[in-house]
Amino acid sequence: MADIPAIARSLLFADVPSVSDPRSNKHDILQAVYEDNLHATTRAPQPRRTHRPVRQAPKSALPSPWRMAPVVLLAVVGVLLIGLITLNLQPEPPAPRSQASLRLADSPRLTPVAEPSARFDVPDLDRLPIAELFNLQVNTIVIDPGHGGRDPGALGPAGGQEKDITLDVALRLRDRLARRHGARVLMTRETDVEVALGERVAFANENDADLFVSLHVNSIPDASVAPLETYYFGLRADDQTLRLAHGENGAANYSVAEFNTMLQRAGNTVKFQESRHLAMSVQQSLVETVRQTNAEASDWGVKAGPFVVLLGVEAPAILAEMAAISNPDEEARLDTDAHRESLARSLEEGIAAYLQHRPLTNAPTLIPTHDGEEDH
Amino acid sequence: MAKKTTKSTTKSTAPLHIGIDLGTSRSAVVASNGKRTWVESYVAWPKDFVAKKMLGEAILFGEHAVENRMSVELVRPLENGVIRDGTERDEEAVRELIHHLIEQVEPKEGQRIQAAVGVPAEALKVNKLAIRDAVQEYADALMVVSEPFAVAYGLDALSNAMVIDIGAGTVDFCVMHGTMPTEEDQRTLTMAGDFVDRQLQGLLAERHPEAKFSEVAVRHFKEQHGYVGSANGKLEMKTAVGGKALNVDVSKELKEACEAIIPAIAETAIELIARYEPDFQEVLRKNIYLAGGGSQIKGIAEAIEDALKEYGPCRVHTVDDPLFAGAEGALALAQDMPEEFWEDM
Ligand SMILES: Nc1ncnc2c1ncn2[C@@H]1O[C@H](COP(=O)(O)OP(=O)(O)O)[C@@H](O)[C@H]1O
Ligand SMILES: [Zn+2]
Repeated sequence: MADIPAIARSLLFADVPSVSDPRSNKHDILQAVYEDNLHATTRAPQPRRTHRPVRQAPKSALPSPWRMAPVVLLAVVGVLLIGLITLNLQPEPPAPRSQASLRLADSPRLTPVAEPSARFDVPDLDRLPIAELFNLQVNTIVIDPGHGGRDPGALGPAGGQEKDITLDVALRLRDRLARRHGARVLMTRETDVEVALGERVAFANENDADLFVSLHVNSIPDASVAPLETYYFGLRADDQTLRLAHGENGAANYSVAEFNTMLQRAGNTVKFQESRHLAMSVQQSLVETVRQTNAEASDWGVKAGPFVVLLGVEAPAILAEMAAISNPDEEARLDTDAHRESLARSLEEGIAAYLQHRPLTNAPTLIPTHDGEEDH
Repeated sequence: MAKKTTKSTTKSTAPLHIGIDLGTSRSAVVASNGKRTWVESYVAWPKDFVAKKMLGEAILFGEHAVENRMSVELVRPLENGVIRDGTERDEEAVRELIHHLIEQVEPKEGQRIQAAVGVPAEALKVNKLAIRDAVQEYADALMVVSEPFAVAYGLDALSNAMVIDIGAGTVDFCVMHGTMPTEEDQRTLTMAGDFVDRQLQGLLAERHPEAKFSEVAVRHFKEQHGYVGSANGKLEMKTAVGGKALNVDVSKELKEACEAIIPAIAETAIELIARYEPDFQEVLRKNIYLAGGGSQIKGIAEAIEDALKEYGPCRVHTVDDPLFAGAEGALALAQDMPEEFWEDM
C-alpha cells in the first residue's frame, strides 16, 4: 500500500500501548497466513499452465444440463434441508466480551446434512414446484395474519382494522386447507395478540414450514382504487413498495447485523423462484375472485419487496395485500362474511394451483378440489 | 509499512511476486517488477462461432467484454461477493481473470510466480478451495487472504485498527489485533456501492418519471460526484425527455442515495467493536480506515465519524489509493512472506 499520511501513522500508534513487538507480530501473522493456506491445500499442486487451455467451442463453457443437474439438485436439496434444520433466530447468550446492550449477529452455522436419497430425472427447474421436484411433501403450511394486539395495521375510513380482517380470513383459510386438503396448517397467531415479526419467522422455521403465507390489507392514499398485490422477498423495489415494506416491517426487532446475516443466508435462489411462483399463483386467483364482486379492482401484480418476514422464513414465502381498506366500498365488503370467505377460497385455490403446477406422477399431499362447497 | 517495489532489476531466477485484488467489480494486480494495472471484473465468451470470428478473440475481459455485450456471454464471476454454487462457468471465469491479470504484469519465461490474492471476505469463507484451484494453475505458489486483511497489511495496520472496505457488492469489516483475523474479527454487509446505484436510480425514476437514467450513467455520475453531508450547489445530470436534451439537478437525490448506506456501516462497525475489551474499543475507534471504491464518496469518512461519535472519540481515515490498496497489500504480504513458507505452497 502507498504511504499513509504521517499523521495517520502517529495516530495509529500514538496513545496505544503496544502489547507486543510489532516485528514479531508480523512474523506471527505471516506464519498464520501460511498455515491457513497450507490447511486449505487439499490437492497436490498441479503443474502450472503457461498457456490458456484450448477451448473447443464457446458453448463448452456452459456445463451441460446432464452434468449440472445432480450438482444443482444436491445443492438445492442441501440448502432446503439445511434451511429447515438450522435457521434459528433466537437470541444467543451474549458473547462474553461484548456489551450486553448490543446483540451480535451469530455467524451462519450450517450443519452438514446427510445427502438426500431422492430420485432425480432431469427436471425443468423453471416449471416444477420445488415440492414435487424433490418428492418432498408439502406438509406444513404456516399462515401469518398480519398485525394484531396493539398494532391494528391499516385503518379504513369507517374504522375497520387490518388486524381483524387478516385474522378472520386466515382462520377461514386454515379451515379450508385443513379440511379439504389434509394439510398441517399452523397460524402465527389465532387471536388478537401482538406477535413480533421475528417470532413469526422463528415460529415458521421451528415448525418446519414448507410454505409461508402472510396476509395483509393495504391502505393507499388514493381512496378510489382497489388494488391487489402479492409480494415475495427481494431487495429491488420501487419506492412505493419500500414505503409499504417499511410499514409492514414496523414491528421487526432485528438489528442491522441480524438482518444482514439473514440476507446472506438468502442466497437461495430456488426459494426466491418458488416464492415468486407461489405469489403469481395466489395473485392470479385473488384477482379472479375479487373481480367477480368488484370489476374495478386493479391487478398490481406480483412484486419483490424487502419484507423482513419473507426474508427470514426459509420456506417459499409470500405476503398478500388482499384488499385496500382505504377504499370505502372495499371496506364495506371486507366487513361481510361472504367476502372474507371468498378471499379465503381464492387464497386456497392459489396455493393449491401452485402445488399442482403440473400433471403429477407422484400425488402430492395437496390436490385442489372443486367440490362446490358453498361460500356464500 | 509495506515494502515499495524498490527491488531494482530482478535476476531472471528471482521469483516474481504478485499481489492481486480479486474484486466484485474491479480487480487489480501489482507485481514486484513494478508493473500494475486493473480491469473491470468482467469475463466474456463470444456467443457463437460468428461472434468469435467477428471479435477475433476466444475470451474478452473488462470493458472490452462489456462493450460487446450483445455478442458475448458476459460473466461477473464474484457478482455477489461469492462464486455461486455449482456454477462451473463462474469458476472458469475466475480462472481466466486470474490468468489475464498475471499476464498483464508480464512474468519472464520460466520465472517462478509467487502470488498473494485478496478476495472478498465472504468468498474466502465460502469458495476458498475453488479460488485456490483457480489461481493454482497459473502461479507456482499462492496465498489467499481476505481483501480487508490485505488492505490492513498494506497499511501496516496489523494491530489496533479496523478496515472498512466499501466495494460494489459488499462492505467488508476487519479488525486487526496483532494476529491473523478470524471470522470473529470480520463482518460483511451486502449494502454497498451497487445498493447506492439502485437507490439513486429509484429516486430519480420517482422524481423525474419523464426522464430516463441508465444504470451505467447513474453509476458514473455517482463515481464522479458522489457525496454525503453538506451540498455544494447544483449537480446536473444530462438526460433526454421525448428526444429533447435536458439537465436535471440531482444533487439531493445523489446525497440521499450515498447516505443510505451510512447507518448500516456505522451500526455494523459499532457492533463489531463492541465485541472487544473496553480499552481496545477505544483504540479501535481511533483507527478506522476506509478502503475500496466506495470510500471515495466525498465526505463519507466524516459522516461515519459523526455517526460513531456518540460512542466515544473516534477517527476515520481514508486510504490514499483505494483502487490499488488491496493489491499493494497483497504484494507486500507476498514479498514479506519468508521463502521457506513459499517453498511449501
Ligand atoms: N470515485 C468514486 N466515488 C464513489 N464510488 C466509487 C468511486 N469509484 C468507485 N466507486 C464505487 O466503488 C464500488 C467498487 O469498489 P471496489 O473496491 O472496486 O469494489 P470491489 O472490491 O467490490 O470490486 C462500485 O460501487 C463503484 O461504483
Ligand atoms: Zn399489513
